[in-house]
Parts: sequence; structure tokens; C-alpha cells
Amino acid sequence: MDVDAFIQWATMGQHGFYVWLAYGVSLVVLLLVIVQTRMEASSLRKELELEMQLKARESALVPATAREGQQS
Amino acid sequence: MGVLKRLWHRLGSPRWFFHMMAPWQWWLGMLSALLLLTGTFWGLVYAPADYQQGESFRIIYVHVPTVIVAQSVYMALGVAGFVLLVWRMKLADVALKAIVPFGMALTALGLFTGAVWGRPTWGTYWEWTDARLISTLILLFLYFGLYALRESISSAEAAGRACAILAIVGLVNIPVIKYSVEWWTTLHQGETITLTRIRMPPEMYIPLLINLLGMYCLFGYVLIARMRSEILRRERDTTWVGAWLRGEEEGAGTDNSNGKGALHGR
Repeated sequence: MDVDAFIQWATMGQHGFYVWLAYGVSLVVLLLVIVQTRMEASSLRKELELEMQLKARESALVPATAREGQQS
Repeated sequence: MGVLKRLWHRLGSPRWFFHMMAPWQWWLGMLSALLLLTGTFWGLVYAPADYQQGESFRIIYVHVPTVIVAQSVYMALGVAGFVLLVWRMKLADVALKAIVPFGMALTALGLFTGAVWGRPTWGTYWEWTDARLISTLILLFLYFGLYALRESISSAEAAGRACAILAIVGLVNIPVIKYSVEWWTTLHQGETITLTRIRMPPEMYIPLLINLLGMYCLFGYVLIARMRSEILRRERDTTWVGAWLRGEEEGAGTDNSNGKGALHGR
């Protein structure tokens, strides 16, 4: 590709600042939305798995007689 | 009738939604990335410059899809609010909560890209007397309101009802945004593309339509992904979530793998 033609395209006929600002900010915001959505899903899953393990360990540690004792 | 009624009841089941929508989430995510990359590249590189506005016209390819979908998100919130109030469907409340941040982000982006476009075109970033700008700003405040209302009411059920009412009342703003350019002609131009008429050459509007479709797919993806997270959070103590976490639940893992089998299997 011709370098001059590329520069002409990249500067957007003196409107480069506005065009790239609009596209740049849009890209950042949309990526943030997607990343946040995915991170929320994965961290929630980890949290729930941890919770499940803790519950399983708890019920394994406490003997049946002790649990009966707590209830009375 | 029986089939429709059964579908309606299944739709109300968070568990059913969680599994059924996993492959849709994957496909919509992929499709939106593909469409948005294509439309943006096309709009930036191949579409011709506008004879009046020059190159700054290319901002249309982010601005228009963003503001249109921002309004669609709000209409979806209104529908979810209505369904929640009338049928008390749990999923409607999940949707009502899950999609607010996305609509807020899109509206803010629409205002920002519009301002950046306005500077080289109208000579100003913002105009307080333009009805289109003001009604879109009100849309942003409605999103803020929905978010704040949810946070400020501790009872989840009361918060859901309050948000549903605000979402429905706020719907009056949608036609105001749409017709603002006809009722009060100030700065903002009228619609370039309507369902029946396109005042643009194809090499300009095709990338716009691609990006619009891509933005709707992104809406679908974010809606499903966030609703599924919210469902897990609310149903965390149920046996089916436990089974899903252990990989025993039917449909488990479809959100991690490519989901093809689950889609064609039904």
C-alpha cells in the first residue's frame, strides 16, 4: 500500500482527531463491557465452586453425633 | 394453545433459560464480533466520504448503531417491567437487572460519539436547545435512575417492582427521541434511514446495516450472558446449580465448549 495514500486515509481529511477519538472510545467501552461480563461469570463460578467445596468439607468434618448435639 | 402455554411456563423457568441459552450466547457473541469488525472496516476504509461532511461522516458507523440499540435496550426493559408486574415472572426481573449497565454504556457512548461528530459538523460539541440531544440525555438519566433505584432498595422484590414501574414510565421518552427531529427542528438531522426509505447510496448504508445488526447481536450476547450470571447468583442454593457445578446437570459445559452439539441436538 502506498504510504502517502495511507497517511491521507489515517488523517481523515483533517478530521482524523474526531473520527479516531469516536472509534477509539467506542472500542474501549465495548471491550470493557464484554470483559466485565465475562469476568463476572468466571469469578461467580469460582465463588460458587469454593462455596460448594466448603460445604462438603464442613459436613465431612462434623461427625453425625455432633450435628445431632447442635440441633438439640 | 397447549404448546404455547407450556413454552410460556418454560420461559419462566430460570433453570431452563440457563441451559437453553448457553449455545445462543456463544453464537451471538461470535456473530457480533464478525459483523462489527466487518462493518467497521468497511465503513472506515471502503465507504466513500460524504460530499458535505467529508471524512467525519464515518462516525455514523459507530454513532447510529449505538444510539438505536441503546433505545432498543430501554424498550426491552419496558417490556420486562410489564411482564414482571403482570405475570410476576422471575426471569423478567433478572432481565430488568442484568441489562441496565449495557444500556447505560451504549447511551453514554451515543452521546459521546454524537458530540465528537457535532464539533466538525455543527461547530459545537453540545447544544442545550436541541431536542434530540436533550431527550437522549434524559434516556441516560433514566438508566442512572434504574441502577440507583435497584441499589437503594434492600428488598429484592420491592426493588424489582419499583424498577419495573420506572422502566414502563420512562418508555414515553422513546417516541420523544424518535420524533424530536421532526417536532423541533434545530441542529440534529432527520432520519437518514427508515424502514421504508434510505437516503444514502448502498456503499454507504450497507456497512451501517452490518454494524447495526452486529450491535443487536452484541445486545443479545450481553443480555444472555449477564442474565445467566444473575440466575446462578439467585439460584445458588438450589440442587440444580450444585449439579451443574459438578458437571452432572444436563446441558452442562455448553457455555465453555462451542455449544454446537447442544444447538443441533434439540
